[in-house]
Amino acid sequence: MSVELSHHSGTSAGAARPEGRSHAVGGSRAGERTWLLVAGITLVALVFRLYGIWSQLPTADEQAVLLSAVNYMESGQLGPTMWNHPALRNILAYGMLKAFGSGVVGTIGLNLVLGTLCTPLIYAVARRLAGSLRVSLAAALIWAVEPLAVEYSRQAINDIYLAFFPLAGILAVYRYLDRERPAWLLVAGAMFGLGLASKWSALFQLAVMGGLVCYRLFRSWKGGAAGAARAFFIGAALGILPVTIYLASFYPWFQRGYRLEEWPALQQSMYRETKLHTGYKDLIYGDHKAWQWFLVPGISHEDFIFHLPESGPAREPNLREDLTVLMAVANPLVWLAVIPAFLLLVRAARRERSEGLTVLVGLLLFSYGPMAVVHRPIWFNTGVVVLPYVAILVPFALDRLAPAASTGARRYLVPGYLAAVALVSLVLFPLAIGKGFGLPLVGDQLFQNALNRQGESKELYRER
Amino acid sequence: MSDPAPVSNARLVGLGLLICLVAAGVCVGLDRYGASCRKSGVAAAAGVAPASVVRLATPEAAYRFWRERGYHGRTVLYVASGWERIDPNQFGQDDPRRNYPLSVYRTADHVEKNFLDRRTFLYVAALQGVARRVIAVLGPAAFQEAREQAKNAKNVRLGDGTIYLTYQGFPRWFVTGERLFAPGEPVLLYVAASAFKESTPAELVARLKRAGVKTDAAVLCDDTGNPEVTAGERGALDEFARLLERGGR
Repeated sequence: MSVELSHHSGTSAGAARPEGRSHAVGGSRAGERTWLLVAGITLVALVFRLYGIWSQLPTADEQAVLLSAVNYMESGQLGPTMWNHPALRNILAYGMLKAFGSGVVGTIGLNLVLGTLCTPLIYAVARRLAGSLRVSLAAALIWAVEPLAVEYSRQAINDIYLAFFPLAGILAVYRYLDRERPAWLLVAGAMFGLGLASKWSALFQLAVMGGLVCYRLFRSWKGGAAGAARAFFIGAALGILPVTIYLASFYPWFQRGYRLEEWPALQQSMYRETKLHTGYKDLIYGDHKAWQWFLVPGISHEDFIFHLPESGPAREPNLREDLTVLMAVANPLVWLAVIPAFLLLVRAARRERSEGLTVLVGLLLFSYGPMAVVHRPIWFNTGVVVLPYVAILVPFALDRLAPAASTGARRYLVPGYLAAVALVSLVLFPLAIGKGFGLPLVGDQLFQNALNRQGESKELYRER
Repeated sequence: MSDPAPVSNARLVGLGLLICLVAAGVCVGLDRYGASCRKSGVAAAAGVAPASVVRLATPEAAYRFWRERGYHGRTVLYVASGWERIDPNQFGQDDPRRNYPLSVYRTADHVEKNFLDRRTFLYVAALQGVARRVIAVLGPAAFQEAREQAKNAKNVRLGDGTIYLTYQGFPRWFVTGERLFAPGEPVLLYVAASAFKESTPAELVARLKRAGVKTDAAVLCDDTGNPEVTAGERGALDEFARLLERGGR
């Protein structure tokens, strides 16, 4: 074979080698300990996602998600909610509904699973990008406890898919680059296809990883039939396969009698709505300016649930009792650290010509950049898409700050930071699960803040 | 880590071709599936040869007729003086006692059962899959009103006498009588008595013929109970029915 992809990430152009591998070679006990740690962090993630879940009230979105799933699968109808997004959520939600009913498990069970499984996935991706056990465990822990990840693992809407599928795709791409087994690139294409079928923003991670694969291809290009064969395969696996999966996810829509020639008009219609979407209320509520996420403390996303008792004597609504707000507040120790961490790693990536660093920087930039510059409201729930790369970036940069020679600083800087992150996340956790109003000292203030929130006019986003 | 066995060029090309083949299969399969889901009767050219023509009292009766006949995935050619604008959000249920297990139903069934009337019949037909797209031929005033409203819509194309406007991906065209066009397939023709506020039966037949409209079911609707429809317009609908029966002569 005249053209070969590098099996090794290398020391100059590739990512750092996972240090755990030497442990594994040196002794299986260290490897086992690593996986126990990953399993432990995943368990923490599971506890954060399951705690109080059986008594959490459903949001209006969750009701609408189930109706949209039934409408789509049984008659190909789009809507009532988020009709402009691709339809994988409808397919998966309908499958869960049929398998488990419309209770907690059937409605949000899949999201709980995907949100939890992102934890080991982030570990594995971070391990590959950063090559550091410490950084990858830290990244997994940040994801496990970050309020935004917790809240959107506990809801039926599909933002969590946009964390899971691209992460799985990234990992599969690296497996392919490391082992040269075509099956891994097919898995990657399938994962990115499922991501695209969830929301178009999966295209950004696909672009970065497709760019990496092409870069590796051309770096080792020797021409001839072998190069052409590999290029053709890569194009098919990362281009045609995801698009095919995306198209196939529309099959229930075709039962309405539409033919393929009518499908582009639907895509255009979805695109126009997505481009100009300003929400379903008369005013825009909540944090909806993505450029603020890494600059302003206390950015949050809120879901309001007004709930009357199902039984008992009739009474007047009482907001203090009947209102629940699920409030995902960005952990400031994570989100406000992104810009300095990003700048530090960009500098390091340029200086060291490190592929892993460059890919990480690219993933963050491509995942977040379009949302920051687009002229439409982007609510903070979409931050779940960016969070995996934030969770890797920040401890990676922090790890770099510790002097290489000082084992003490290196040993305690990241763990100390993680302890602080976990503590803050723990404090914010009751808000994320709708228990904020019951907190001593701050509960009343949170309630008043919820009542007094102000909306913004949609004129702000009128089409230019 | 030991180096894996190299992958042959033939295998890579084979896998790439397999993906292409699957992609082509999905395209062809979906296209054929969509076509097979359309349900229609025997089509005939409107105004040229007799089609299945029925006279019904109300728009909701027209919807029930389409459903009973089993029509599905069709283009509805709606001809009337005006267009009833509705807000589909009003048909939603936001139950403040909502809790698990959540109530699950098809929106189409819910709206049909609780809200089917002369204003909503086309919306229900769209939800239930009878119509996959609508071409509405409107009088000048209603068309102008639609044009003004469409200027604020998100997905709209304004032409000379035509408006293309989608609702949640559902395609709709609004046209003036002069711009009436045939969609290239047999339509479910719906003509309300109000259509003759601005045009004569002969003019409408001529427009249908000129456009080459084909239909397998023409519903002529008296719109009984609508105070805006006059006896003269219903008389014109009689005349239009006769013209259709005689093949436009």
